[in-house]
Amino acid sequence: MVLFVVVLVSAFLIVPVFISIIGSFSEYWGLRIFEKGLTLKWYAYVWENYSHTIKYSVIIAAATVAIDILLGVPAAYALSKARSRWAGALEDVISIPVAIPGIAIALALIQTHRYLSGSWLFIVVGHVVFTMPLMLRAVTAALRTAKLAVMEEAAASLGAGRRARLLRVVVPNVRDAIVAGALMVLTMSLGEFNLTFFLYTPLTMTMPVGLYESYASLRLEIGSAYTALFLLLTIPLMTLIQYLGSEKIEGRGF
Amino acid sequence: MAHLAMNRLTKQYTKSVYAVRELSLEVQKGETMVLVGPSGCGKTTTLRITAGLEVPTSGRVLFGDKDVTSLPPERRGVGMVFQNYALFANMTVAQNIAFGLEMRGASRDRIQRQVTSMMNMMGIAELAARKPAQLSGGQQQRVAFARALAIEPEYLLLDEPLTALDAKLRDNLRVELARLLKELNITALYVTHDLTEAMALGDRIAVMNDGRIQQCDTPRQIYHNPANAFVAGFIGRTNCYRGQLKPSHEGNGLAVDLGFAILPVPDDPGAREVVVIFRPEDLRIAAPQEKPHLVARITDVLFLGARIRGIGRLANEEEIIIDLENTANVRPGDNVGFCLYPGKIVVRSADGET
Repeated sequence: MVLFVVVLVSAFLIVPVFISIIGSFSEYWGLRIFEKGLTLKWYAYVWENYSHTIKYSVIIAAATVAIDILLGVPAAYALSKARSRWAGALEDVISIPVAIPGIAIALALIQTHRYLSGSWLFIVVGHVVFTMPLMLRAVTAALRTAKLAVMEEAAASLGAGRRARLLRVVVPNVRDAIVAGALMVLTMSLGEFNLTFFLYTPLTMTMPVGLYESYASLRLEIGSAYTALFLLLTIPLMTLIQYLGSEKIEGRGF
Repeated sequence: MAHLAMNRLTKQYTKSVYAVRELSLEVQKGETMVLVGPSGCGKTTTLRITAGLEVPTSGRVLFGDKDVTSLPPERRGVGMVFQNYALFANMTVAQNIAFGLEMRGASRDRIQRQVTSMMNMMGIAELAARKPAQLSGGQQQRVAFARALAIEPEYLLLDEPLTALDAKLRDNLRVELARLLKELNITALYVTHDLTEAMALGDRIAVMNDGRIQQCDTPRQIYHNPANAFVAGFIGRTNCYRGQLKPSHEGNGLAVDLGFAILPVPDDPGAREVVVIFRPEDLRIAAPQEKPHLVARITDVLFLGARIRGIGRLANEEEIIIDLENTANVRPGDNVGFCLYPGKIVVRSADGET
């Protein structure tokens, strides 16, 4: 019975994607899916016309992750150290972007960072605003649970200055959280559509925007091929996140 | 000159909340000074100020003749052992021990040699490649000692290092630690709330209460000659009663009038309102013809093996505890006369009572 429900739910989640992927091999999806036979030409078409979106998606996602780590880890460290109630309030404020529709953030960014418009960096800024709260959450939580305060004191008594404490003691002890946060940010950036849709130019198109365009203005089969390529990129990432997560649960954390 | 000195240290949190008040303490080279007291007495704060982990509101910390009050912990060069070990979870045992030397820029060769020698000294050589999470509490504490000592510090600060261990392990490590501190001849400041630990390890003990040192002396002096009722009460089971000092009827000595009994006392505390303090073992049952100092109605008798502990009520209903030889014949309900062994009773001004 339980198994049946699980299978049913899984099917509900996966079947549409599966059907879409099958559709990508169809010459013409009319009344029946393989009315006119099988083909790989849609893949060729997508690769020819949209491979630059893969490049931009990867560059933007990588830049977003890098910025989130470089700014987010020290910020989380500072937040976890601060004892004032302002720190708590600040943490809540930082989380606001998660609760605002991407469109609203995009409009706010267009008003604020007009000078960046047209550059792929514009999209990176948007993605950082959107993903940073998650990075901060993941890292501050880890910083608080690990017995870091006293480890840091021990490091200080052994002669480690602030920098050495951060790099040798703090970061290695929350490494798992940083990695998990980074992978989450990476997937979110790769899949982000709302914000990006308002910030992209034809020259800085990302995969989800390309996907939208191909579905909206071209054929369903092309969109399906595009989806398949997209999954090819993101599924390994998701698997890695799952793997890292399960490793932590099994307590191999030290 | 003292090797380690605290000069009128005060740590104030709010207008009326003090952790430490005007505390002065001197520790000689090679000496183990134990700070002992109930929780919240300021002992840990004093230690943390010495380590540089907290900044005093006022007062100074001196290492020899060097004022280190404003020096951050990483520049003080003290070895520190924490209650919960505080080992670096991301490093192996060997890496933990090497950390301090690395921070000092020691050569690879020297680090290797020092780490090996520390691990041998603490008997943990076979644990070198383990991570802290793979160690027992006792092993972790050995690593913590090795790590603190690897930098060959002039001062060793220990914050309740044995508290997190179970009782049997604690006893073993205490003996080992006492030997280690003697052998190393290191100047040590040791914080504990455990009296047995304080007595066993301290060359001197500073008993603290309410942010102040109540008495700082050798374990023997503190036990036999407590400065006030608080120290006497903290350092073991005591009987402690208020009374008035007056000239003795017999001879030219002094006596304390408790209202229901008059006790001869050896010394003059320089006050009229006093407390008399004596320990359960300072009493004996009066001989049949002898005039007892105190009479008590026994309420409970506990057979403790080596001794018998009697608990009774004095004429004013205050409790008295008496430790007797295990052959003594006392029963609940008996009215028993007791005599104090001469010279055992301690008299202190009642002003110092807390």
